[in-house]
Parts: sequence; structure tokens; C-alpha cells
Amino acid sequence: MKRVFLFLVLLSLLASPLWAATVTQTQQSGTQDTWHNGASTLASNSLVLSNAVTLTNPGHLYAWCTLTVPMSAAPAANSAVLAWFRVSTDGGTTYPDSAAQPASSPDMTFPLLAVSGTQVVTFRVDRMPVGFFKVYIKNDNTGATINTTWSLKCRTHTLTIN
Amino acid sequence: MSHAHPHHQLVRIALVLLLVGFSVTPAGAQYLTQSDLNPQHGLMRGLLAWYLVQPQSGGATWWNILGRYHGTLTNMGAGSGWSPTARAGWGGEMRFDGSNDAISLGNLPIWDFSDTTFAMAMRFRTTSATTQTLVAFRTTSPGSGGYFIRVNAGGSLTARLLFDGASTLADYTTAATSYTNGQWHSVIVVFRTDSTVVANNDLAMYGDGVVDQVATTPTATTGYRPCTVVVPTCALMLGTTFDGVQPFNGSLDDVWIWTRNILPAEALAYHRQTPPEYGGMVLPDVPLALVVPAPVVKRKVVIQ
Repeated sequence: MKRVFLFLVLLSLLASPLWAATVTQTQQSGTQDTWHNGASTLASNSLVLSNAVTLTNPGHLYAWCTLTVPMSAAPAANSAVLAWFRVSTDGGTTYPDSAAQPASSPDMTFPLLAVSGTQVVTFRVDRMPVGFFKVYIKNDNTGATINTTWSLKCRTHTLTIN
Repeated sequence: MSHAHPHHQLVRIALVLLLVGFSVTPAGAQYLTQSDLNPQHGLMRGLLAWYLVQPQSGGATWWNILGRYHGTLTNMGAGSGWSPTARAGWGGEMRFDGSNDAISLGNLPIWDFSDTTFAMAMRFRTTSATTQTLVAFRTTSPGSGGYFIRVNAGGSLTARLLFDGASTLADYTTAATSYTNGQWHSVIVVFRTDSTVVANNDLAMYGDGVVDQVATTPTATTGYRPCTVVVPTCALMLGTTFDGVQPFNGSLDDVWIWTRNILPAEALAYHRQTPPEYGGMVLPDVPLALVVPAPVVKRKVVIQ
């Protein structure tokens, strides 16, 4: 019985937070892909639907995204660029309606500063879509136009523990 | 409980240590969406809205994590709206300037809450010794109908149910007067409305997780009337009344609305919730949970 006890105590120590602190966590990263290349301007409160995104390295769980937007003027305070995933569940044939702003909360929010010039904002996506998707992007209440050329680029990644 | 063999007790202690050790998972700051919530959590029952300032929040809309009835930032210019917070782990706070800042939750029939029980919760921080609205579905004209929760100039809180005459249906104030001390506080008010029987209209107030209420005897002559009966355009507002009076000067966060009663234990549970898992409301990050070898360990727990 003592051996069982000692074994379990040893095992519990291995499972403790102290042990967790010694675990190596690494980010397995894909390459950066352009999810949308803004070849046209995007006026305040306008939306644009990207082409279907083709990931160079599919299968990752997360992504870090970078939005680069040259603004025509200083955006209004508390304004942002929003983005929603439009996921196709049938392999890229059918996508959700994109005639109007989705009713759900956005999958990505890029808050903008009320300053003029080009802004570069990042966002961490906590759950990548499965399979084929597009991105629906809104210039939300900035009061300014997003000039060309702007872009949304993302690098997928997965956290692994060794 | 029978007398256990001392060795068995030791084994049980070891097993507890073992399970606790393996259940500790590193928690990252998630950007919460509806799919991150735990549908089995008790506070999910009847939950209509959860407005939370998250680390990556921004823009002109305060999104309801549950997907509907989003809030619109109004008059929130530089220095207002999304702001960093000193609270460890929290994503930020929503700052109101005490002048004209507000968040409109819309002129929607869902906010009428006639002949039903509903509850509202929020966290707030203020140092302003003025009468300030936290949430209101009313105007300040007598007889607007509706309901509200406010901070009083003396540091207490008041919640009321109204009808279409000059008086109140239910009127409670907290005994504590420390709600303007610049610290974060929580308030939950449960409203019960009845459009016909005056006496059935009632409130329950919780300050910082515990019951805190002193009743005033109402003198209403008819039952509850929603604000939209008197003012058809009336909207549910955070930080002001619908007519822009008694503006809030401080910060709000973590606003919840339920379509049911909230029990004392639940009020305390809400008060104690902290990020990143909010008392179990948010499911652990899936990929991290997958790497924890808990299932393997559980198979070994068969010793008797």
C-alpha cells in the first residue's frame, strides 16, 4: 500500500503546476496568406466580400491577422474595421448570405485610432474556420474611406506542448 | 462514513492531488463568442445578453456575446468608450463621460418585460457624487413607465419599477452608501412586473453579491407599464435615461440580462466571476484541454 501511495504522490507531483511550468510550449506556424487584397476603396459603413481564401498551410487552429489600412482621414473615435468568416460547409459551393451585415458579433475586430495616415492593426483569431471560407469586411462607422491598397493578411498557427 | 484504513486515506489524498494537478490548464485570453460559452452553466439559463469588454474589443458596437440585441455607442468620443482597465485579467472597461455618453440597446419589444420576471447585472466604478443612471428604460418625465437602476448622489443605489402615473410600483434603495468610492462594484436587480395587480410588482437588489435593499412603500394606482407604451420610441439605455438625463460618469462592464429570477447564490456567483473562465461560463480553450492527460489518469482511479 505504501508503494501505491508513494507512486501516486510522485505522479501527482508530475501533474502539478510546477511540472506544467517546465513543459515546453511551441507555436507551430504556417505561412502568411493574403486573405483580402483591397484593390478598391472601401467607404465608411461599406462592406466587401473577399474571394475564397486558400490557405497555404491548412489545419491550424489559430491565426494572427494583420490589417493594413491607409485611411483618407482620421477615423472617428471608437470606430473599427470588422470582419466575419463566411464558411462554406459544402466544399466551396455555397456560402452564407452576405447581402447585409451579419447579425452575429464579428469574428475579428480591428479598433482604429483617431489619427490620420496608414494604420496597421493585429487581431488573434481563436478558432479558425473549417474548410473553405471567405471574409466579409466592414469599414464600421469610421467616417473615413479606406484607400487603396489595403490588405488583410494572416498567419495560421497551432500551440503544441512537448 | 465508515472508519477508513489510514493507508486508504493517504491514497485518497494522493488521488485528489493527482486529479487537481492534471486539471490545471494554462488559460489564454480568448476573444469570446457564443460558441465559447458553456451551455450547461446555471447562469446560462434564461440569459438574454452578455456585454463584456474583451481584450480585442473596439468599434461602435458593444456586441452581445449571445448574438442579438447589440449595443450602439452614442456620443462616445475621444476619452470615452473602450478603455484599458486596472483590473487584473479583465479585457478593459466601457467609460462614460458623465455628459452625454450612452449605449443604446435599442427600441425593441423584448425590453418591455411586461408581466414577467427579469434580471439585470453589471459591474461599475464611479467617484461622481451625482445622480447617475446605470441602466434605464424610461424618461425622467413623470409617468413614463419602465424601470431603471441608478447610483445616487449619496453613494447608494436605487432601482424602481414605474407605471404611467407619478409614483412608483416598486422602489428599493441599498443600505450601503459606498458605491461611489471609486472601487468596482456589482449590482443585480430582479424585477417582477404585473400590468394589472399593483402589489405583484416587486424587486430584489443585490450589491456586491449580497442582498442590499431597503423598500419604500409605493403608491401606484395601476400596474406596470413599459416605457414604450408612453414613449413609443423609448429604448433601453446604458449610462443615461432615454431622454438623456442623469448621465453616468464612470465605467461599466460585464452587463448581463436574464429573463428569469436570479437567486441569492447565483447573485454571489456572478459577483465572484473573473476572467478567463468566469466561474465556468466559458469553456476552456479546446486545444489546451486536449493535451492534458486527464482521461488517462481517470482510468487509473479504481483503487478501493
